[in-house]
Amino acid sequence: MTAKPPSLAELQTRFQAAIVDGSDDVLALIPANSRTSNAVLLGVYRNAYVGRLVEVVRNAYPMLARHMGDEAFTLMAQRYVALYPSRHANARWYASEVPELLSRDPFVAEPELREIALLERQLDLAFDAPDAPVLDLAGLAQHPPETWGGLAFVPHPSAAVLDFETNAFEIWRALKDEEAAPAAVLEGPHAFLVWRRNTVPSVRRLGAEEHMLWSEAARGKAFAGLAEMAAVYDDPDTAALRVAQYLNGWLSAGLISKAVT
Amino acid sequence: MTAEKCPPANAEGSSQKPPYLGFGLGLRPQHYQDILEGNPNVDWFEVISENYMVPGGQPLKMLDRIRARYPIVMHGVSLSIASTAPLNEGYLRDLKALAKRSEPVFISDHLCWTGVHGVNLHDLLPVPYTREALDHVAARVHHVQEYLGQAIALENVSSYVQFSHSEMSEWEFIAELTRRTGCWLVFDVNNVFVSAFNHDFDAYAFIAGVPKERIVQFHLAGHEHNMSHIIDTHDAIVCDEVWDLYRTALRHFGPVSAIIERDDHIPPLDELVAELDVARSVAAEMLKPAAADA
Repeated sequence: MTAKPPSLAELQTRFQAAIVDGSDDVLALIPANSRTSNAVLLGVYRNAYVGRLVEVVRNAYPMLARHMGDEAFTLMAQRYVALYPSRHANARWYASEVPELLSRDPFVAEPELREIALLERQLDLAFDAPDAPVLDLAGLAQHPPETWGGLAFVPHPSAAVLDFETNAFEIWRALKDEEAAPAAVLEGPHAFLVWRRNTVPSVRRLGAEEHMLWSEAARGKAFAGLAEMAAVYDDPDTAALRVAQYLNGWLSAGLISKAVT
Repeated sequence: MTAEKCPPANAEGSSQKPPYLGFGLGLRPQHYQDILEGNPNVDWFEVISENYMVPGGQPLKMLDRIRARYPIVMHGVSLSIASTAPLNEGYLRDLKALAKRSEPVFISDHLCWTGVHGVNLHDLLPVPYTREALDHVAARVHHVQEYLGQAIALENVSSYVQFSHSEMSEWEFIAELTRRTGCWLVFDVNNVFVSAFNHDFDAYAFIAGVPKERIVQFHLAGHEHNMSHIIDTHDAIVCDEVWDLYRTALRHFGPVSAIIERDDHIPPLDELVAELDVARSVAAEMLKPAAADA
């Protein structure tokens, strides 16, 4: 008795289930070769699936892998592969939900894991974020000084702020420099700015005042408004000067795409 | 399920056959600087389309610089032409935008599927060689070619399983697909060798069975031999048996643009250029009479 052959759609559903869920149902449609069983041959796809995606995760989070150690990282990545089937045409984006997995049990007990992952993911996003013009001091000088108070600054599309609680950045930096990483500790709220400088992803710490001003500038607040906020935050006599200094830093770092009125 | 009605045969028949490009390499980021600072003996580069289907930054800048100096071919891994899932229109849009930017000599992908039900397994999965699958794939090739405004090239993949309800050989399937759609073929010599071993068929039957006028490119790569089966790993040098099959393919097909592919354990550029020189020598030796005629 021969069963009716499956449609292409049915075959693909069963084949995918065999790879992702380990179902053996599709084996009935696969002959052995002259040297080995059909299970061994199907196993090539099964093994390659997990192995390939674990490598995608490892390549996306190299310092996290170094911090966790090979065995723990591989277990985490295998868990990710099991819980997060790829929905992406491009494997480039496959590992982007690793920080979400790390915010869950049991990983949440080590909050620096998620923050290291967030940092690595953001650096990756900055690497191939959209291109945009970069405004420099000479470009800003095209605007007459009397208009500066009304100027707002459009951030480069690669720029993003990360809010951390742990010393994940110091751990990441030490691992990257192949130095002994400090023990993970809770530091309280602090922030980092990640962006692409020319073609190179960059990161630096933001002080509390700069964090506030950058966030407001990114929301479209103009120079005069930023100076007013700075005047409330700290010494009002030097507020405009401080904002000008921050702005100078943003311009020279390639963080601003354009100034608009 | 009813098979889709196939559009008229050879709808893209007016497409010009891509020109002969010589000997190329798969472009890998590790080699960007050596390529741009040196003058490697490489005639053209094949780029993985998806590596450059990103918003901006260094990958696209490097592609622009290399494209300014070399012809390129775009080679994708996620078209999933044989999937029963709907074609990914966003992917096609990005592919077309990249082609507009980088003006490849042609665009290729694989005769395979990569997933269904919204999932991508990021693998080149095997097709049952049935009439239903042929109708389905041909209809999708037509759609893609119409959307991109050009005939695409499809590559035979390495496979580890075949399906007992297949109704024709892989080469019969490919020959009929090209006849119906006018698509071109990337003839992966290593993949033919791997699949022939895994499925106990004669690699020479494959060579004789595909239409030589549709072949626009050879791929050469290394693999991992497990005695009972071979896995296509692209992580090693081209082995003697694959060089032998390359000789046979050259004898049968004549001069065809060729590349060496390496995706893992990627060596310094010089080593790949040296391996490419072997491909040049093999081709020069095999095509001597043709060269004398010319």
